[in-house]
Amino acid sequence: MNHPTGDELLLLAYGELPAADVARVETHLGECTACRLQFTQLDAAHVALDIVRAPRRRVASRWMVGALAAAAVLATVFLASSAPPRPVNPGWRPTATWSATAGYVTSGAMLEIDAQLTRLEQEKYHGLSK
Amino acid sequence: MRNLAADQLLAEYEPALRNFLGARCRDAEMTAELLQEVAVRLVAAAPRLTLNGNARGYLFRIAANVWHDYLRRELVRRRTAVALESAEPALADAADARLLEGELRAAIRNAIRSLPVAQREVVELRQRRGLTFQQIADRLHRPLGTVLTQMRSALIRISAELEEYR
Repeated sequence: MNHPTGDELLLLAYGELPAADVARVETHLGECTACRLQFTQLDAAHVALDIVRAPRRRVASRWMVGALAAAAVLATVFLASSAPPRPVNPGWRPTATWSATAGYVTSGAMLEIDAQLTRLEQEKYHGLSK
Repeated sequence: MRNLAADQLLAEYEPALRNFLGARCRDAEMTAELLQEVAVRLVAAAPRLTLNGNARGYLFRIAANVWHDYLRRELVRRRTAVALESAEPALADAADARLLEGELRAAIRNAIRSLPVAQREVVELRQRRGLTFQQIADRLHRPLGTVLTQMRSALIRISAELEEYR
């Protein structure tokens, strides 16, 4: 019985054995337990090396997803800040002089700003003066 | 690709697939089991497949993946068995595949680190860069036969380290 060489078994495990030799070696492995065990030992170690390599790809793809998400956020911020100012809706009218909920949702500083803005809007739209 | 076509494809290539898996599996029962898994994967993938005349290559790729998945499960299974036998509390209690794979991964990394430099160079060029053995021989200015011997020795050493680790 002609046993395949160790090199042939290695090349078969890595899919680099010339096609012309594959059938011969595989047929032999089907009949020879010693060679099959030798091949399985090589192929199992090959798979073990792949196990070590596998997570690197996952980490790389996670980084890629993170980078894409960050790029999307930056692009949104950039576009929003560089966009022309939105036109004021000419039909808009303030419904009240004060927001009823302002006291609950704003701090003291924001309250003051809110009051000043409200005053400005009243002057602009209703011609009110102090 | 419809299920009918997948069935025809399997029927056409069954003898060749049986040879492929039979050369690797310890007995006919295991061969039949893995062949069944190839069929299941092909049928599951069939609706989104367009093979463009490369049906044989695709089918053998599935068979190789099935075989490698089996070897991978075996590596983890043996690790689990040892963890349960030796009653390592963290592993035995969790019996968690991820944790066990992490342990196995650490052992494999150690095995790679302990290789002689010449063997480690070949392993890294093959595993990380995906070079063929001929390309590795060219890059390292070594005869192809030397590179193949070094890779084989490395795999046998890693296998032995994992046996010890088990």
